[in-house]
Amino acid sequence: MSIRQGLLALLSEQPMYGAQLRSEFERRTGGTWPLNVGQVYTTLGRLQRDGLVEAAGDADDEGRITYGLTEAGRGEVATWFTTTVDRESDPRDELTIKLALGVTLPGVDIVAIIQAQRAATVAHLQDLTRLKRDALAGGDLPWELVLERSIFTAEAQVRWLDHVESRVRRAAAAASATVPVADVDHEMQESRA
Amino acid sequence: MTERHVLLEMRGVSRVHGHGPTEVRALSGVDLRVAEGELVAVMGQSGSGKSTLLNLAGGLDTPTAGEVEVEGAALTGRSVAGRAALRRRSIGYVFQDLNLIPTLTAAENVSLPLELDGVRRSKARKDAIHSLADVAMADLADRFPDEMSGGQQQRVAIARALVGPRRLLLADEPTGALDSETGEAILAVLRKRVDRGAAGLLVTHEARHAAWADRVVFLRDGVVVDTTDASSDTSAALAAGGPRHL
Amino acid sequence: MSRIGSSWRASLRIARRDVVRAKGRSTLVAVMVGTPVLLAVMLTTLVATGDVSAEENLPVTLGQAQARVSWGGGGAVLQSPDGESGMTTDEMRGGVPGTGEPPPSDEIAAVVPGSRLVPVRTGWIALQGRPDAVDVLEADLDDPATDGLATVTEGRLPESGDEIVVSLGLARDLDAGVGDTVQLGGASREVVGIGSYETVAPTPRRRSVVALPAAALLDADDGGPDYLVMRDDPVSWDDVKELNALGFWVTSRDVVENPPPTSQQYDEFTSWEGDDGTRTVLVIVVTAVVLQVVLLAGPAFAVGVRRQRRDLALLAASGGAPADVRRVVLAQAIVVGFGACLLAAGLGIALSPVVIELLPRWFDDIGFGPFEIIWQPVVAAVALGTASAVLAALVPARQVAKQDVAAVLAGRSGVVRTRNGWPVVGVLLIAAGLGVCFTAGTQPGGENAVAAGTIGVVLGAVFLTPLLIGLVGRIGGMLPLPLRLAVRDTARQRARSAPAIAAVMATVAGITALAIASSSDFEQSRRLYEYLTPPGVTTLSAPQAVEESAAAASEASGVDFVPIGEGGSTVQDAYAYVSLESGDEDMWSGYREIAVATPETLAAWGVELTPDQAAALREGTALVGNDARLTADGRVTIGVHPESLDGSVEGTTAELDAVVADLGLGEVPQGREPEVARAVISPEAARAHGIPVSTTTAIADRSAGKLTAEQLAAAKAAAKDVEVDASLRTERGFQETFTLQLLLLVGAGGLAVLFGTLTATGLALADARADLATLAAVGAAPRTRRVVAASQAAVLGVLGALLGVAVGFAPGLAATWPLTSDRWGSLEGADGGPIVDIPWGVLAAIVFVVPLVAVLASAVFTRGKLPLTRRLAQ
Repeated sequence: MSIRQGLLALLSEQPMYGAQLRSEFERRTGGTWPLNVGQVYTTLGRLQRDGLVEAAGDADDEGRITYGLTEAGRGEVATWFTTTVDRESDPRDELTIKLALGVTLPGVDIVAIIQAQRAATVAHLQDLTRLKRDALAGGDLPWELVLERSIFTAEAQVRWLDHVESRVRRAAAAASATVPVADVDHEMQESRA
Repeated sequence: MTERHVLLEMRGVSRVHGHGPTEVRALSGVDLRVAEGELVAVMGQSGSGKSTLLNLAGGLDTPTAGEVEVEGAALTGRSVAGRAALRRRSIGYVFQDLNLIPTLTAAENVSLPLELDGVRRSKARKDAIHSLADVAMADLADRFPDEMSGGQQQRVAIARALVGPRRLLLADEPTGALDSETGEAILAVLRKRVDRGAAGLLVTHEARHAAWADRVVFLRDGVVVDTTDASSDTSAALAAGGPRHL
Repeated sequence: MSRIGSSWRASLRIARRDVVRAKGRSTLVAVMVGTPVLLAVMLTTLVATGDVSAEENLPVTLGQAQARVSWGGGGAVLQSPDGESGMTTDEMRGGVPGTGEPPPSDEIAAVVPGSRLVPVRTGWIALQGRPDAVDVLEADLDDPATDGLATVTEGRLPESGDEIVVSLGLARDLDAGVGDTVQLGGASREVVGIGSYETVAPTPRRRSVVALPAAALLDADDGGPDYLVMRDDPVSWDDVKELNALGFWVTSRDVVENPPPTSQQYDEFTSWEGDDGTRTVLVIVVTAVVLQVVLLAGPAFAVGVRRQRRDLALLAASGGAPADVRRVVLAQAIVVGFGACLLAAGLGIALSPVVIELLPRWFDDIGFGPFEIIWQPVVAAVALGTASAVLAALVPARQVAKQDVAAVLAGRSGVVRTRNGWPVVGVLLIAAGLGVCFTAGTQPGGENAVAAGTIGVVLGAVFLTPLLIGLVGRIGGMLPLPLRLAVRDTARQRARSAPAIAAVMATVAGITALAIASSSDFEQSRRLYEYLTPPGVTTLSAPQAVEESAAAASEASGVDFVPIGEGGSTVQDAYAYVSLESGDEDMWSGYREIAVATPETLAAWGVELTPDQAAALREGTALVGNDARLTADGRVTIGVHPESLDGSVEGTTAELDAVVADLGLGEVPQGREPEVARAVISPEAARAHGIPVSTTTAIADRSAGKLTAEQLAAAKAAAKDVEVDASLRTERGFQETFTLQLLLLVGAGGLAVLFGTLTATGLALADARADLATLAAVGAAPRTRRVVAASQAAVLGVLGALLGVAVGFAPGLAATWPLTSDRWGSLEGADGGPIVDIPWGVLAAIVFVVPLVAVLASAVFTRGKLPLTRRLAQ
């Protein structure tokens, strides 16, 4: 996603001037994505150049120009909404590289690294959940959905970390060639008996 | 943090199952305190000792070492009956499923601990209705469990866990049998009840559920390996990790 | 057909594995189905073995002879072909006229020509100083004809008159063994062997002696001997009938082995087979047992089916039709039922010989013949047992076949709402049953109709039980917690609870009906009891020699035993009946028409006369109890009716002056005061008027008061030494008690209630494991499990027992009509309506005490600990 598409989407509702676009954008994304006015006007300039937006009229008394979508711009918004977003595959993801290296390097406590990362992510999840509670209490659906996006991402990371940890432990156990870790849930066994 | 009444305190608690070659250390030297208005989550993979911890906290099991106190009263050293009495007055359980007794109505299920404790029938029912109202279930007080949805049954279970004077709620994967939306709703109810003056200990293996807690305790092989606190400053939370993940 | 065949094969295979997997429940069902089969098989085997047939007895009855002929004592004989039943008619055709002696043996020889007749004498003798008689066989044991009559297990047969063989029981009594000398029949005899005679059934406690005729133990004049008929030709049925006409009983080897066709038998004995009454009883008993088994095993199947619901839903999901699902459940019933029945039958047959070996050691009169199994009842029991098991599984099988497969697979409980049974059918059956009870049942001999009606009422109540349980469930809300749990569970799980409650109900209903009926019957006997003398008075009777017996008893006890004469003669061939014929038939109590006595004798009997009355009696005037017994002119008429040998009766009468006197023996607690006789005359008057007098009774002098136990024992021993048949009787009022019978009833009912209640409680608890875990988590004390178990038992037991008493009440009342309204000779007159005595104690015990025992038992046998840790969903 980019600012460019975001502005186009906002303009599809109604024509707006630059400062209006900025505040609306921040409101809609719950302030998670701060913009400065310069960014907005630079982007608008590019859009105008590409023929996707046009000035809706002359500058008003305060010198603000209202922009609206061109026919091509409307088409661009429709296309953007209907195409799927590519999965993020950031090849330079720091954590992934850290773990991939850590598994093979001697002297690195990979399980501790995983736990530290997990604790951090869960702490972040706690914060997100607290925000979500406020959103739920305020009935702010868009904000809630934005937060859910982050929650799902964080949750996915914890689950991936869980998987890595158990996989690493299994590998370590196989390497030491001893009896597997006694990770028997005693109560469960008892209850099945 | 202000001084709050501690409802559950575990000090150096260990639990060993079996002995000799079959010995299994389910828990080793766990310290844990849960105060009023606090929801603490325990995370860990299966076999990490989560359920043992919960059973020890509720007096369903006794530690091989260490001490457990509920509302300042020691659980350890009490007889089975004594621990049962403490459970009736101070501790409420919510399990994944089979929480309610099918032959009792919602109100009767909720008043169960009070009735077992000898509280007068009418008083028990009044308290039960009150507790059901706290989870928005007062309308269904006279329904039988098989006339309610899974989420409704869990709400009744929460109402029962915190009926009357009971303020310590122990939940073992309470959302496990529910779809995610209903599960979230149950956690919201749980959170609300804790905020209004109860203490909750929630065992789960799901991070998104643990995240409802004020504090998350990580268990691995029966040992507490980490504890996280939710930062009180939400904007800091957003600054710390927010945009990076968007 | 092949699809059904293979489908059954598959079902049976699944069933076999399920049965093995659920061992506890399978065992429970197996015990319930198998126990009646085991008992039935053992019972029929024991009866078949114990019932020694004439054929089995031939070797010991006949020895080597073709037949055995014995004197019937008078008239012609009508007998069954095997000679085991029959009667002697009054028709005086055989014997030596006027003597009662058997005809000479030539008459037998004339019927069965060419035969040698070997006399065999049997009888009994008294043993000095002992109350019981000893059986005796005297026969020429050297004669090959007698070979087999006597069996010796130790030593040898006697060879001279001084030698005897005694039975094991007698040897033990006399403390004598082979080689010892004992006193018998007034002489010393040497015991040369241990053995018995005339029975293939070894009854070790029988007391008998085998001797040669030379021993002369038996009185040769006492009837004729039996004759063993030795010849080559068999004795035919026609020969038997000819001998019957002469007055002889005959056991013929040929006739026993090849019985004649019914058409040739005596009509009186041909209708004996196919006893309708017996068959009715059998049908009622079998119905009741099958009903019990079905009701008791039903809950076990219901629980089993609920456990298997998911498996069966999977079967349905993979293409099984409802019929297939039903088949799998029924197949389990067949596997368990048939297996249990086979096992039980085998066990019964295997255990019978042990019982046959043991029983005769404990009981005097039980003996068994050769081991014998009747296979038809065994096969029938196995088939019926298996059928009961299938019947018990029928309802659960139908229910599970109708279940919502999708709901079960999705893990939704899919609670099967149990129907309310078939209340309309129930009401109709109850109405019909009550109808039978109170129409046919209240007629004389209507006991079987009542029993059949009871089955109808009970069956109807079974159909109504689910509805009633549902109603009881509604009031559950008011009960304390454990009872509320139990009542609601009972109402919710009717598939499991209804049959169990019905089982308890059915048994208790039967017991209630039986208790009311038999208690009323007993009450009738109690009310009809007549005192013969005031309480505490002892009388001695000795038909032959009362004077000598009384003298001996007086000497031994120190209390005078005073005999009294009575009009009439009981001497054989000189029989005469004497009665008071004047006046109206009045109600009186006593057992003598005419007493023949002096004032002194009367005084000893407790009848006090005024001097005037005593003088009158001495002068030949009769005394009567009241003036209603007098003729119009104040006299009495005494009839004397001697019976001549040809059976004709001629009567003469005597008329005497009479005065009224108090002939009462004294006040008695209930009924009319007994009188010494309706009228009393002096011995001289009897002689003067030709009235025969016999003396058979003496009384312990009333002035001596009540005899002590020692005096009674001494008197009894002394009297019996004189005459074996002498007996002493002390009036104690109505002595029979009904306690034992009632205790047995309570015991039987109690066992049924216990068994039904505990079974259902166990099944309910097995179902309630999850709930108990929840209770523990909520904070129930550890004993709660026990309290819940006890409540469950209380609800099941009390509900079943209460229903049972309610259901059994009406049939019980109905049965009192045939049992007690016919009161011939009662003080209230005949047909005074039924006597009803309701044994409230017994009913209360069954309704409250027995469930209480069940409650305690389930509390004791339930593990007290609640399952502490939560187990996974099942």
